[in-house]
Amino acid sequence: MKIGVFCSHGGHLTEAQEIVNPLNDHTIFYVTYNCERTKALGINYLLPNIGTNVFLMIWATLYIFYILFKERPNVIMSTGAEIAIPAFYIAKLFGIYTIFIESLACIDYPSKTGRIVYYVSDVFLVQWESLLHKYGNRAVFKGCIL
Amino acid sequence: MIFATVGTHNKGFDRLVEMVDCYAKSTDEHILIQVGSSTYTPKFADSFSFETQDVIEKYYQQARIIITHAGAGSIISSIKFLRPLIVVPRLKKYGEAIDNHQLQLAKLIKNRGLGEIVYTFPELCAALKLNNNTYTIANSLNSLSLFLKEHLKNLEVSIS
Repeated sequence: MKIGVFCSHGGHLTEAQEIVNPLNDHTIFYVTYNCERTKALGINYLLPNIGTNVFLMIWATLYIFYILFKERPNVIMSTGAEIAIPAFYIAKLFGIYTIFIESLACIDYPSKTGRIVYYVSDVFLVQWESLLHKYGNRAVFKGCIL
Repeated sequence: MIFATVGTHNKGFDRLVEMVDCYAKSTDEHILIQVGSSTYTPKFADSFSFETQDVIEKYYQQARIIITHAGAGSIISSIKFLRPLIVVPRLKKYGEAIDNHQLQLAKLIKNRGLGEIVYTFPELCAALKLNNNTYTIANSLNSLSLFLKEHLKNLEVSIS
C-alpha cells in the first residue's frame, strides 16, 4: 500500500521514523517542514513551518490538497503536529484511511492537534493509557515506542 | 563531550542554552550546544543552530551525556544511543512551550531511571557531577509498530 506520513520536522518526525521504519513492505512518502535535516533526508514534499500562522496554514492546506490528489495514498499517518489538521480533513474528502498517533510527550493531557483530528481519524492511538479517558471510545492504547 | 540540544521549536530555549554555557565556563570538557532558534549566543561552549540528522546522531554517539529540553525526539534519540539524560523541561510560565507537557515527560524520565530533571543552574552542575550509569534497553520492534504492521495487512486485504 501507499502510505503518506504527515508530521512536523523535529521530534514528531523522529517519532514517526521510529514507528514507520519497520513498515518497510509499504511504499512510504513523507510530507514535513523544510529544514537542514529534512532537506538532507531527500524528502519530496517540504512546507514552511506552519506553527500558528493562519496564512501559512491556508497555503499548506492548498499544497496538501495537491499532494493528496497527485499521490493518492491508501493511508495517511501522523504523529502531529498542526500539519496533520489539513491533511486529515482533506484525506476524508478523498476517502483516504487516516491513522493518528498521539505523541509520546502527551501523557496526561491531549495535544491540541489530537483534539482536532480525533473526529476524522479512522485509527486514533495514544501512547499512554492515562490519556485514554481524556478522549472518547475510539482512542486506543497499543503500547508506546519506547 | 557533552551535547546539549533544544530541538526545532520555533521559540528556541534561551534558559537552557545560557545554563549550559555557564557550565562550559567552569570546565575543560568539550561542550556542544544545538541552539535552534534561541537568541542567546554561547560564549564559552561551541554551538550551531540546526544540522542534518546524520550529523546530530554522530553527536549523540560522541557524547557521554545529553542535556535536552524534554522533547520526545531528543529523548527517543538518547535512549536509542543509550545515553544518560539531563532534561530541562520547557515551561508554560516562561512562554517556552504552549503547555506543560514537557514537565510530564520529564517526570516520566526521572521515574523510569533514564535521567535527571533540572530547573536551575546549581541543579545542572550537581547532575553533571553524578556518575551517570548507562542503561540498556531491548532493541526489539516497538509494540506500536507491530500493531500497525498487522492492522495495515488486514486493511490491505479488505480493500483489495
